[in-house]
Amino acid sequence: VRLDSAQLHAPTELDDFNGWALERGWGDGLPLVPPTEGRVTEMVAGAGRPAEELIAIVEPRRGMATVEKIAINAVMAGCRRDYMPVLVAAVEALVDPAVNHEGIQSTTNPGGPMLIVNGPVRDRIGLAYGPDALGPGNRANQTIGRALRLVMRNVGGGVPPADQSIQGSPWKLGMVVAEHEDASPWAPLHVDRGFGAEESVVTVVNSESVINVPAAYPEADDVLSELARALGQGLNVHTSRGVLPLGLNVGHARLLADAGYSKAEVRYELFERAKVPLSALPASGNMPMSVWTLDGNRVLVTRSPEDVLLFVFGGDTPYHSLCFGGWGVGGAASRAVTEL
Amino acid sequence: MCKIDGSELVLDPTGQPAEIVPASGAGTRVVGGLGGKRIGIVDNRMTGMRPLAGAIERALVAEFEVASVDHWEVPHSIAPDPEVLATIAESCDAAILGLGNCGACTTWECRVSAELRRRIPTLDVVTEPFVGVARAAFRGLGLPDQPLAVLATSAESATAGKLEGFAASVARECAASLVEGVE
Repeated sequence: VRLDSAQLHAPTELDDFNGWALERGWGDGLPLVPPTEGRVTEMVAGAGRPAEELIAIVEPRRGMATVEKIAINAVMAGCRRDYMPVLVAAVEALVDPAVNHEGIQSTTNPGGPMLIVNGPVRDRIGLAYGPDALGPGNRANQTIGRALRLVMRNVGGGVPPADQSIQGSPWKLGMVVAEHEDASPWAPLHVDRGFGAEESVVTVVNSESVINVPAAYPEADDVLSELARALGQGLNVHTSRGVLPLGLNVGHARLLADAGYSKAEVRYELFERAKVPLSALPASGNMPMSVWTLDGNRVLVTRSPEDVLLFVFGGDTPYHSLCFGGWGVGGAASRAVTEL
Repeated sequence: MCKIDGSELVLDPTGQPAEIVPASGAGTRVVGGLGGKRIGIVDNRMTGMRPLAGAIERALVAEFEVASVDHWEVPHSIAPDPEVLATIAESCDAAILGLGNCGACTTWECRVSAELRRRIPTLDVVTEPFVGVARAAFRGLGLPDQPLAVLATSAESATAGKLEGFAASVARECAASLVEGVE
């Protein structure tokens, strides 16, 4: 592996290195692993692709995210070398025009890209998808998301003043979840999106927040109504242009499937029930009101049922599902993971 | 690991910018002044832009005797239809874009502006809090000197008088920054 990046003399003590790196604007505030030539060489090898291969151009700096640059940031984030194929696919998906990463990098909103991983790679690298999957404690989930954010920051220049986020969000440290495919009663997300069941796939979508939907009801109809109420929250969804990620817990998914709902029917029900009456919105209008899509006197929260991005993860107690607040001006993109 | 005098060598994680093909071409100036020219106002539908666009039109007609002012609407914060941009570039001699009044909408206003600048000169209206993101976007687009008309207050909260006054200044800025050969 031949590396091209500039080499800089950095302090050897870890504390000193981290202060030095933060002064250069390289970090997210958490401790970084020094990206020495040896570590980066190992990480590049984990990708199985040439170090100089250009994966993406990341805005607004138009930084060239080569395999080498991605590997350097992966080292700093604490990734293992076998995470690289997932991270590289995530960078590819991030810059898909559907995702609108140009907007993500500069928006006043608080969100960040969420990665949803499907397929065999989940188990090969130990991604969490069961109980507490979004919580701390899993290296793959935490560091892959962090590495993507470091690429956006260090390669793409997604820092103030280009980054205009008014309050920020912990989402901006990174967020990765895998789908609990074996426990789901339906086909997984990547199959919905046209990939084969045995393929490993990363889907990237910007997410603003997480809305807990406590819906401990025995009836499917009540669960659907509560989920739809959460989907309709917030100004952004009223632009009717984004996608809405919804992570059903395994218990809710089974309850709905047992009641006879297919995944497509769940999406349709949520799409219909989430429409927001105009009378419930400020009389002075939305910002900007011209992009509302109306069905009679109701505002659509997405353009179609297919824009409700439904996937399954977590435990099997049918209590809490998570609605990941939509950004309103970004879609999702998926890329196959090329494993060694 | 190479250690030299208490230091070790680490690799730079920042990415080199990809080659930029500057958008500025032959059409970066309106030759001979605004008089008799066709001006496009590209409205991203952010709150406040519509009344501001009307005020800018009045100022352009009254002060510079432009031939026409055409109003175009594009979505905010996302990529517009390229055909719409091609039509604007085809039918206008210069364009004024606005309103940069949030992060993503300012970024996309700049990207649209840069695209139009391949054919015609443009001026961008942004509110003061979003000058930084506009400058960062234009640097990335290879247009660090793109002219900006900066609105110190938000357009939606500006009084009618302030809006008219700002619109007049935008029209003058348009003339000053986009025109060469004015007597």
